[in-house]
Amino acid sequence: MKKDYGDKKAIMAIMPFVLFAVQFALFATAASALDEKVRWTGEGKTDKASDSMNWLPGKAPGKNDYVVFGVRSSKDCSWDLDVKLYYLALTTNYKGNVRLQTSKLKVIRNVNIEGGMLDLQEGALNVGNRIYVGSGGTLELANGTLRVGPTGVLVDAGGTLLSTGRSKARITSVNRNKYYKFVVGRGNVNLSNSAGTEVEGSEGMTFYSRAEVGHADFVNVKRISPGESALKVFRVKGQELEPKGWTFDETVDKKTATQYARFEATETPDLDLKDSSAEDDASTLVSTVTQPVSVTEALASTLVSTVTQAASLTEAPAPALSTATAETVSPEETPFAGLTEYETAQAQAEFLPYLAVRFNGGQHFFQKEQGNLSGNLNVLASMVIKHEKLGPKWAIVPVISSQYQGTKQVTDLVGGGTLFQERMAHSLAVRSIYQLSPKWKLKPGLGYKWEFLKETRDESWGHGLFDYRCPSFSFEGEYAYRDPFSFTIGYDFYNIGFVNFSSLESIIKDSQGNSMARELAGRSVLDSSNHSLTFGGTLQGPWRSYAEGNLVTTLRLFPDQYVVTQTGDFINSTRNDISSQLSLAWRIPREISGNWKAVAGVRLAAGFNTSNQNSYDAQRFMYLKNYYDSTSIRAGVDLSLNKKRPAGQSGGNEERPLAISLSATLGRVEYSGRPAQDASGLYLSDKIYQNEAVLGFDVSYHIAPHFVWTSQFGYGRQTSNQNFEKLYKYNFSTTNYRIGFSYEY
Amino acid sequence: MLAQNAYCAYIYSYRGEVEYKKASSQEWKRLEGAAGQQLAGGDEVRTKRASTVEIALDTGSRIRLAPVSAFRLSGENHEQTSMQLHFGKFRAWVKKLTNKFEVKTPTAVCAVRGTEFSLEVDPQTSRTQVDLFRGTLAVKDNMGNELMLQEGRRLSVTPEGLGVPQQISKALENERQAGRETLTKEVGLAMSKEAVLGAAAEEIKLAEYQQGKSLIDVFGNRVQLEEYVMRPAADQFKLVVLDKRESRLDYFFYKGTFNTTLPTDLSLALRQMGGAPQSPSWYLTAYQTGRSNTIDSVEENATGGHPVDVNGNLDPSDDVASYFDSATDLYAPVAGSFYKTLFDYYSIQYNGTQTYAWAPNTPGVQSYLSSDITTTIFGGNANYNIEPSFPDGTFLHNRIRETYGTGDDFTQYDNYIIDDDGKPADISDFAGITSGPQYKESLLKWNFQQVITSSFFGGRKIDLVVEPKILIQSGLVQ
Repeated sequence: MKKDYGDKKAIMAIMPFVLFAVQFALFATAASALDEKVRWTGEGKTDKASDSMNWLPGKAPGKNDYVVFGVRSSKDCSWDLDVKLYYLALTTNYKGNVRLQTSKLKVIRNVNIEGGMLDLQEGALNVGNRIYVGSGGTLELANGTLRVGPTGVLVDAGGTLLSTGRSKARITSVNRNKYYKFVVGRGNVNLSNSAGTEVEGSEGMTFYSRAEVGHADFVNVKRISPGESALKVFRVKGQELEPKGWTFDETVDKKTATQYARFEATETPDLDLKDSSAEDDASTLVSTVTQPVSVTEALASTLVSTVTQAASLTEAPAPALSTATAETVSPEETPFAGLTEYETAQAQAEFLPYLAVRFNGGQHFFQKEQGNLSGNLNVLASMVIKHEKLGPKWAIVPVISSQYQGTKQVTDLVGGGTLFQERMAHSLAVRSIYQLSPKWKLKPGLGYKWEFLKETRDESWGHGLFDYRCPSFSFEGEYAYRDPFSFTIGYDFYNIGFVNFSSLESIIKDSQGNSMARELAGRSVLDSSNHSLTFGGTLQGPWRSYAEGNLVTTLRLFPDQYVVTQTGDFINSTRNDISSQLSLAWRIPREISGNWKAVAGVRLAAGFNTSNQNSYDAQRFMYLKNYYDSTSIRAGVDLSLNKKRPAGQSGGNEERPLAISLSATLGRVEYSGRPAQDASGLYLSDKIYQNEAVLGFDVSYHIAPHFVWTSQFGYGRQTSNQNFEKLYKYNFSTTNYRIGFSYEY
Repeated sequence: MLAQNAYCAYIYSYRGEVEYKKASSQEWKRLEGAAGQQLAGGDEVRTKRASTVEIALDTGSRIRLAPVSAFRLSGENHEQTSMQLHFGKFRAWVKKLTNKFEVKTPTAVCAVRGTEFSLEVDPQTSRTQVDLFRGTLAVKDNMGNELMLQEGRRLSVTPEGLGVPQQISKALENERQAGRETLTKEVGLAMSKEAVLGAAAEEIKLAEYQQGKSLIDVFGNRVQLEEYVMRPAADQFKLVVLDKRESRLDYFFYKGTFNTTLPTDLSLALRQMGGAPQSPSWYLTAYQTGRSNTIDSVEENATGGHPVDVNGNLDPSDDVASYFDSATDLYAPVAGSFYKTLFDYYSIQYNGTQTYAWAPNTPGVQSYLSSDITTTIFGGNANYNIEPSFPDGTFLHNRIRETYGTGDDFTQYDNYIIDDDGKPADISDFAGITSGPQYKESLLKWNFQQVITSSFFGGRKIDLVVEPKILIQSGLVQ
């Protein structure tokens, strides 16, 4: 017969205990083996266990005795002995009742009830290991107390467990620090004690599908093992079990996710759970007594095989779901303290805000010249808005951004030679998210950006030559094939309008008021309409790395800029450019030590621009075909280090990470339509190229919740084969630093 | 069998667009007017966007259907109340009764007793989410697995079966966290798009700087510069230089008329404009220059151009020992003949007033000696005075002041050699050489600024910054 202990983990947990117990019990078992089996004969004048005449070999059972109620007599027995037995067995041949009259009966090892009935009445029985009820045996808890060891209560193979008393019956653990099993296999159960059957200190009660449950009512489950359900029932379809009047103490409320879990039995396990019969046990022990050396081995092997069998039984059909995985609950938590919060969350409208403010100051250095100390400010505000009027699938995300930049960055490699620049940008974007399906999101959006530049001292805000406005529309589809990794495809349309820029040619008139412009000379020659297609995605890579890639192709149309010809005039065709940018990045996060985490990454970006526009150098009467064609490539590496300082070390209650990042980028841009020039401007045969190197070093530290101290240092260098620098600097180095704070909510 | 026709519930209140359908009908009707519509087993109710409905059951229980939801009342009697939520969400307050209250969804069955809970079904995935606020609730999936849910817990049931219960407060926190992550991601995407727009605008601006169309002078002020070439006729070209600084706009143009059709590549013709050792294929027959601040103007006109070997004429002062080769930007020596274009007629006008002009004594002049041309000067030839000077010491600031008549009328040219930042050059920058080929070669590395003031301008000035190459090439700078 197989044994079922319901939980392999528990079996493996008790295995060392059992094996250890083997060693410990070496002398005990050897000694106990010397004691005789004491068999019930019922030949005494009374039915008391204390009547020595009722026993073979003529003495009442004593300490460490192996007591058997078997074939010799089925007379009822009133057990009135306060004694510690080794083993108690009611065999299949016994048909009588053993009624407990004491509260001090202890059995070191097992109690096997395979015939007759053991009635606890109002007594108490301590079982060091397991109580097994099988075959035709019955255990009646009545009004008594049963204390069991870790292997607990096992009812199987036709055994019957009753709790039909009128005052409370109890099953509890011998050792308060250990939980016991309570398993009913192919057995019968009738728990109908209206005063309650208390089951305390168990790993939950398990009724397998073959359990015949007449009643399972008024059970009071207490001090249950964490993570367990109070009652697990495996039922075959069609069987019903309606437990009534169960109660649970706070351990069940707080420490278990469920009180009651029912599973569909995928097959009905044949739980042959009983160990070897008492007779066999006896023969094993007897045989081992004569061979002391092998006792331990034999006993150990028996126990091991028992454990092994038990372990193998745990391979028996697992439940269809393991639902009863409990979560850890803080003891202070009340059942549902968050109702108000829930109500708020379910309100008609839901808002989730975001705010980031960054302020810093710094300086920009060009070659050996130094710019003034100036400040930079970034404010970014957004929120997710859900409203019932939008429906459950829509969310709106407005984004408002305002920036003031007083310090040039090294990446502002515009001509190099301008130290002075102030920039202000404001944008409003409204993105919406439509959850088309669990994996698909559609995101239409609108935006408007204003950018103001003060690049010269005579320019005022709003009158910068290169101020622009940019209305935009976007539509994106995102497929989250495996959250958080996704693919995206998008279309963007945006119009860049330089509101203060007009070509001089279009506005100037000679002193007689006549136009001096060429035919088809446009006015807003820098304004463009842009159509952009984007493909992107993120991927999980090996070694916990992740990669992202992006391809953007833009068709840029200049409706007011006509194409320049070889003679310097315009033709009736406007400029259009096609620009493509491919960027790839691969990042590997790693834990360096307990406190330090690092993310290393490499980047690669390639760009390509082709245009139908040409240029004409009027000073040198030089026609420059495909002036705007270019290719670029940039590669870089990044390393960021984050150190988490545990709460308390920094004096606060939150983690205060320190972040350091380094970056290096090399790049090259080649203009295939622009010949290089010498210092005087004479055109050469080579085409212009520019080499760029940019280094960055950032440090940030959380000085308070949401509040970060930041610092950035940058160095950039550009070299080129273009030596004509009267109008624009191609060879220079530049440095900047910025130190400040950011707040993010 | 539950009673299908007996009324067991009624509409307690509603807002927005709510429809109901009787069990015996296929037609959906919109709720109108006051609440109170009675419902029986088999009846269905659905809500549209921003609409809710509260339904009171005869047993005293109450349910509230959220927007975009649909449910069916299966039936109610003293033993059992059952309903079906097809999709959407409802909240229920179930009185503690001995009868059974059951709600079915596409993936779950919930049996409740004395409970306050909410139920939500995703119409696409049929995923059922149960939030239990009070009481107990048994949830069963389609495979018969059943679970007793605790108060304050949330459970999801999918077609695959029961999920793992979690605390509602924790679930809400997870939702908030997911919402924050979505928000952070969308903000990041919005900023990325903005960065792309910004980069595009920056690229367009950069091209303007690279072409020299926008400069910043030494005072930190903006200079907007445009230069272009026109072809007014097959034998003509016109170079225009437009200069916008601060609040002023000045221009310069040079229009040349040649002896024959000009080639597509103008440089072939123009490299001979200043003269050549051989008789040129292309030579100017006329030119016109203009300098103006759009109000005042200085215009030169020259006609009757023809090539002359100046090294072979009677005027030794116009002999050329070296000439500017625009192909190399260097001066090349001349040995022997050198052909330059001389013009029979020339005049210069300031706001239409001609101050200087010459005409040939005989057409086809071979020099500009008085024997070949006759000059006419405003205010009389005898009163004309020209005074060159270097008013700023060693800085290369050359002034030429012409006075006419009584001396009240004047024109003054202040010519500056400045660097790219607008700083004036020093004589030492030219190694002390202020004329001749070496000077002109060095000059190419600098810029030429000319400020013209005149009594004819009413206090205004013309201020131009040009690259000197065209001036040297055309002979305007000697």
